[in-house]
Amino acid sequence: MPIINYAGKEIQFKIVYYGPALCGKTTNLMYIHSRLSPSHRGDLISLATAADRTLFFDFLPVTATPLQGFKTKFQLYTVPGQVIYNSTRQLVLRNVDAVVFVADSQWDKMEENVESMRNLGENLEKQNLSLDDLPYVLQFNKRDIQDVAPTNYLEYLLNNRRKRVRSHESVASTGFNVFATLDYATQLLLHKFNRENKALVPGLKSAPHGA
Amino acid sequence: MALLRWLKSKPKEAAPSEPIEAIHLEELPARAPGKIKIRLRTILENLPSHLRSQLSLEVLDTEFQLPLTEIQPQLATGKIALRASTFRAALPDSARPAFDALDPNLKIPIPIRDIFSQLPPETLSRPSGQQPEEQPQKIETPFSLHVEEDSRRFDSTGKPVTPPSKPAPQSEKSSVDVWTKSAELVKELQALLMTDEKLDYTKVLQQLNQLPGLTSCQLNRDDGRKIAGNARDVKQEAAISSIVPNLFKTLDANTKEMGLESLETVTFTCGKDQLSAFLRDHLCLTVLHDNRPFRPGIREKIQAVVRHLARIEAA
Repeated sequence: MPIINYAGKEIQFKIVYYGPALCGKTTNLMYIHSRLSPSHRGDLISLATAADRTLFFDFLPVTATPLQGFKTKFQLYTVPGQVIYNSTRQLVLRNVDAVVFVADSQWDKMEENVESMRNLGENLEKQNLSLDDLPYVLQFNKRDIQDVAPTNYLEYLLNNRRKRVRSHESVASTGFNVFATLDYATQLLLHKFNRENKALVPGLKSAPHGA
Repeated sequence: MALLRWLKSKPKEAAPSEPIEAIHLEELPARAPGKIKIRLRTILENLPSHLRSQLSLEVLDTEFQLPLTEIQPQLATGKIALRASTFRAALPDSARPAFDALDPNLKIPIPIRDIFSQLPPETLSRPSGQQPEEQPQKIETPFSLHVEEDSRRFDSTGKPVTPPSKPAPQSEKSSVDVWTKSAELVKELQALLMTDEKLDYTKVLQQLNQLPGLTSCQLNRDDGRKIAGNARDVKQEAAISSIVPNLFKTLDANTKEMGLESLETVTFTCGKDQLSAFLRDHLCLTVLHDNRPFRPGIREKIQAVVRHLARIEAA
């Protein structure tokens, strides 16, 4: 849920990168961090294990241009992908406004992708949230590796809810489609916010018709 | 039976970690409806080592057919496995005895990549009633500009697009030959390092040195000759050149004896000093880093760079 600071005219959104271990969540944030101007972002905070795996989360704050008179801030988080850190994932998902689900396109990671998606649904349910209502986008990462699963199989596995969401093929290590994914998730998030908050935030224009 | 006796009289017995010796048989006729063809060798190569060790190793490389009805329900889980009893039943008579020792309830993994192309198109149908998400009208976000910039950096398949570079000066021709021959690979390396700068070994190491936590990088051939980079001082450079590649190769041989896959990277923690080595084909990259493990993603990035360097070297 976005945090609105009326006094400071600021709205803060939270975007969480979710997915199985080693799928490229941290790599996404590292690329974003490296490309954003230092004046528009804070430090990338990473808390890692001795084996270079995300222990708690990665966190990247981004300051944006005003949205209808309100300064917008985006907080990007990743979760640790390993199965044992589920309680951390639940904590990070609190008050989430949008999700980028990063899938690993390698054939031998399909089961982990499915399990991670199931886990995401389960953890959201604990907060009375659902992927049917929450803005989210799929990212099929590591498309540069030879002999990866075709996107129609990834769609079959992961994009099988009532609403078919957009997916992006990506290579996070080079940055291909990293921003495209994030940009789309942000657009969904902002449209939802416009729809739900025009009464709460006077002066905020309603979302364009059809959004 | 006579055939089996003849096969068992063959001399050697392969260790589980070695490639499976196969004796070719005739292939089965074309795939029957509702069946998926697969080679037995493919399944055996994907078995965990503890299962392979239970099998009789006079293996017949044969093609056989699995029932789609057993496979289809599992597709949505991302993993397919058949009970050993079902698997045995699908095998031709000549191959079944090799699997007698397996517990009938054991699960045999079936690699999806090897059967995917045979799946009927209707197998991967969308759930009924699924609707596409309404496309939002475009709003400028803080990331829109970067989307545009990246659309110019990459083509639609994700391959980096870099502007044509000036030809190398004549005097440097011999040292950049390997770089000019591998233009496509160099482009990919530029994208990986997120730079448009013209690259050579020195420039690549300079880029790597900027990664968080790294204090120095040195690139050697696997025979110890130094290619580029440096260490803390000349003495350490010489020691790294003479010791690290050989040490890595020794460790790699030892890990293979343990039945593990090829060693890709090793890290030594020596008090406040940390040294990591990455060896690929004939290149050995040694990095010294600060007194903590690699930040997330850094090790993988270095591995990817070394892979690219090795491909450029080999081109």
